Amino acid sequence: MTTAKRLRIGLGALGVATLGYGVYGLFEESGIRDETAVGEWLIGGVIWHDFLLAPVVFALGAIAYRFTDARWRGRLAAVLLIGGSLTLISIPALLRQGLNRNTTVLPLDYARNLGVLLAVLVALVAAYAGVVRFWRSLRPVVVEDGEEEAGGERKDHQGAGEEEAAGGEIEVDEVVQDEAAEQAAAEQAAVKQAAVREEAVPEAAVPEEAVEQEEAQDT
Amino acid sequence: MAFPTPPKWLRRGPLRAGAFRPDLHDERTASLIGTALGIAFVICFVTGLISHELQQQRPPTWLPLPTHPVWFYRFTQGLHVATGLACVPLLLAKLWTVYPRLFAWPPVTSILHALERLSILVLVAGAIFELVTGIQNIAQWYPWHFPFVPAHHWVAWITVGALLLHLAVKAPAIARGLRNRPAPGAVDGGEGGQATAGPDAAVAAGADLEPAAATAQPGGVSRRVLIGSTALAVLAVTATTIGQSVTSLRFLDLLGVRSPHDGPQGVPINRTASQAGVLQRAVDPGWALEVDGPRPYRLTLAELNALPQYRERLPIACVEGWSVDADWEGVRLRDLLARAGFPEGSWVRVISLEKGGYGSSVMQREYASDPATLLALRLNGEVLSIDHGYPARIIAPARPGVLQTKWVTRLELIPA
Repeated sequence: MTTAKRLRIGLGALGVATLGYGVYGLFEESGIRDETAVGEWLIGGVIWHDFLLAPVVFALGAIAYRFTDARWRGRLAAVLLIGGSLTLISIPALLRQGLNRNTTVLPLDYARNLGVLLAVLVALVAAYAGVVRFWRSLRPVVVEDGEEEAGGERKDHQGAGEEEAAGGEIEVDEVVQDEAAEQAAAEQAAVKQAAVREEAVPEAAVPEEAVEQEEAQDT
Repeated sequence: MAFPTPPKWLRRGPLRAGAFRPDLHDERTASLIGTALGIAFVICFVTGLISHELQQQRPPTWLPLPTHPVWFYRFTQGLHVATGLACVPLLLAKLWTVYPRLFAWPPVTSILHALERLSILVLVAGAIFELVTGIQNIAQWYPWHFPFVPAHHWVAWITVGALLLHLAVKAPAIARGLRNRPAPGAVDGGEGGQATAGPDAAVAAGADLEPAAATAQPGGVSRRVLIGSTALAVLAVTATTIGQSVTSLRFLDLLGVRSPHDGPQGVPINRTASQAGVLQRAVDPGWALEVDGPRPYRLTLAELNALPQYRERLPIACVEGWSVDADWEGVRLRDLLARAGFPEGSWVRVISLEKGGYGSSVMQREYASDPATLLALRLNGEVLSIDHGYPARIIAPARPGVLQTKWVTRLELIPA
């Protein structure tokens, strides 16, 4: 038996012992009379996440995939995760505000604050998209419509992407990740572009979409 | 154990091979986010145990209790709550990453694999339970039929146990993920050695072979976007709540459950005089402090005010994570104890006008003998407001706020 395997078994045994101590404590030491109430909240959380929250999030992802172009999907995902986290941690405050006799508990206007935060979040992401578009418009490279298929044009786009990365203005999902991504086979890109076409994505979005897609495949 | 291949009509939605993108539900993403989450859980567990130990009311403890730095508890408990809040986006991202495994087929491959899946159920249930109950507790919202403190405490042990077991089982996969090595073929690491036909494995193997699977969900959500968004979400959650513990950042406190300085005399309150049921007795002019020791005595408020007064700048730091520094003025507790002939290093029982669970506290010798521990009569330059414990309250350095007993009426020697 190797040392690594022994360590793993030891760690696992420690885990089982710790878990067992927790179960023992919950039943014997806690003074909790109604352990089933704890059990209900334990299982309830899993059900709530696995069969309500997660399906909703994946369904939103599927809808976003159908109705938005690739550049926006990353931004929407960021809004969903950041905005969703802020909303989740605010739920107790939103539901309990004004109900405590002690007015120093939950003293803020949480509905307003959360609304402002979500609006700022959406505005930042939209402004960011505008900055990216503006930056693009300043680039000397001009791509004629209908020429995206050519391998040479793709390279121009990737080069521009690197400039943006150097300028610090680039969105994370649009950075060309590494050398390997740059050297991806041209025909593979062409196949993917063709696939993208079939999804009826607007023509103008195709080059960036292809780069992003390729990147996604490479990660 | 042999499981039949599910019929075609069942292989839809999340049960369809290739329903999830292989590049976002892989070992690397799971282990990167999982590492951050694991560190956060360890921080929560350790700071939680510190808080638990500091609140033990039974002499003697095996642990020497720190009275300095005076912000010790302020720091550990502020960190506990801040880290717990930061776990929300981390746990969401982690569960999102591993969600396809819920639909792995066959569901179990061996007894060991069944036990491992059971341990993950315990881990997920415990993790969600700790965050949900913790976040509701800081808002003083208790919609359940069990006492919060022991449930949060013992489920933490269960969760950490399941986490250690999970780390042991997944060690090879975590190592591959962190080193950015691919999983060996379609064989799923640490899952009993048998090739699984779970969505992950199916997609990983068939990404290039099945255009339908490969293009199932292409687009702008790369691993960088996922991890970057998670990091930004942690930052957003922390920034909008940390002001309740770090007073200098209170201008950012948009979602914190407390606002430092929002309360009488610039300090929040956990239990008002009305909630404690002491509104009448606290303002009774006949109030006097009784000290019960070898030489017992009574002091009226005027007599207490005539004793040498000391001023200390100490934080009041609540188990619910909020804290704020304040100027406290009053009589040194150790002077009062010495006057009653308490032996050096005594433990003290502090008794309040309040009845019930918070009506008394046990003070260990570390605090009782510390010169910074006061029977405070004034707060931020004014006579204590009734909600802050008029006529007299305890304030000791580096102690949970719940033990800074208010409306003190009596001090007793605890026999060693």
